[in-house]
Amino acid sequence: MAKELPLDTVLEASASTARSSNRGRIIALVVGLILILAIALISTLGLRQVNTPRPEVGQVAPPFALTLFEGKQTSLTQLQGQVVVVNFWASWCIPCIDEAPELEQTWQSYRDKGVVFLGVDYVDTEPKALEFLKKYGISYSNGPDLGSRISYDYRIKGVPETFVVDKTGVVRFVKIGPTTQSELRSVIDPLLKD
Amino acid sequence: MAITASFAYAQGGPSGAELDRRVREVTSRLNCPLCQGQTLNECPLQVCDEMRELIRQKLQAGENDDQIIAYFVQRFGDRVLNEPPRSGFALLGWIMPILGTLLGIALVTFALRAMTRRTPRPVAVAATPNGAAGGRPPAPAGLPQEYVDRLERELKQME
Repeated sequence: MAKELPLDTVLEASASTARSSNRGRIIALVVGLILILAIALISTLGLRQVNTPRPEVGQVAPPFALTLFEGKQTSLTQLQGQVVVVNFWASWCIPCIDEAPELEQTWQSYRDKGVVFLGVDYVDTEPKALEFLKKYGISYSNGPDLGSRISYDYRIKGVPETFVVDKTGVVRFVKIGPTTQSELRSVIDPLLKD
Repeated sequence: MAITASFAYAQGGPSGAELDRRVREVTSRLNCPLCQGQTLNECPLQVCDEMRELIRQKLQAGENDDQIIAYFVQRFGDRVLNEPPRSGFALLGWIMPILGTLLGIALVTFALRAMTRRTPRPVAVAATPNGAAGGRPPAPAGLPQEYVDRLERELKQME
């Protein structure tokens, strides 16, 4: 049979346990609050950018600067007053091959009418991108999407993807997947009359 | 073979097995920019194959690992890094685990200290002519009355 302790000892031990337990609860509470605040801070800062919506028709196109393959710089702001066709593409993208002549032909027929075409090369290697442009005879301005910033701001779902921006900088057409000459003409023509 | 080796040497970069090892090393530090959680070393996509080839060419041309990684970050952004960068917002990714570990150690230390204090200590009780019950201090708050009564009862039985 186990030896029994005097009641005073038991009572003192119980009181001590209660005090320790309270202190432990306070510490746990403080630590828990610090952790919750840290997680909330990280989530807020991290999600702030993720929550930026994809630009849709009727919304202002996110401004961007593009460094062209030949080294020159251009930006959407600089091109305001002209209709801008922004095409996201990549050399490894098979549908981009079908789309390439459509874009080039459309560019050729609008190049002197206040329409600018910009090709944004998404996740690609420069030698392969330049090879693609040469192979498919693309003559309008093209440049790499440095840091994938433009494709991020436009929330593209893949390549190819095309946005048409009007003279005031508002998105007037979005196409996920390859676009065609007739589709682009039907969008550009009314915008040139505005 | 000798011509290839001397060409590579002239460009200042490694060749042969050493070049393969360096390519593996660099591609292990980079993620595929299109896939989630796959390194450039193991990604089967065609574009990753092209990127591995580009890394090989850059190494042969004498560029070091950090220069190549900086080029990829400039082209594809921080997400291409297999490890988060040690600056800006991503620095939290490095700090939080350390902070978490320190908090954990602090918690365990406090818990152990609290447990050590719980060890019962002998308490001096003044003897009374009427027996144990008469001279005892009052029961501390929080101790169930039922437990106190039972103890009293059992102590009386012992007498």
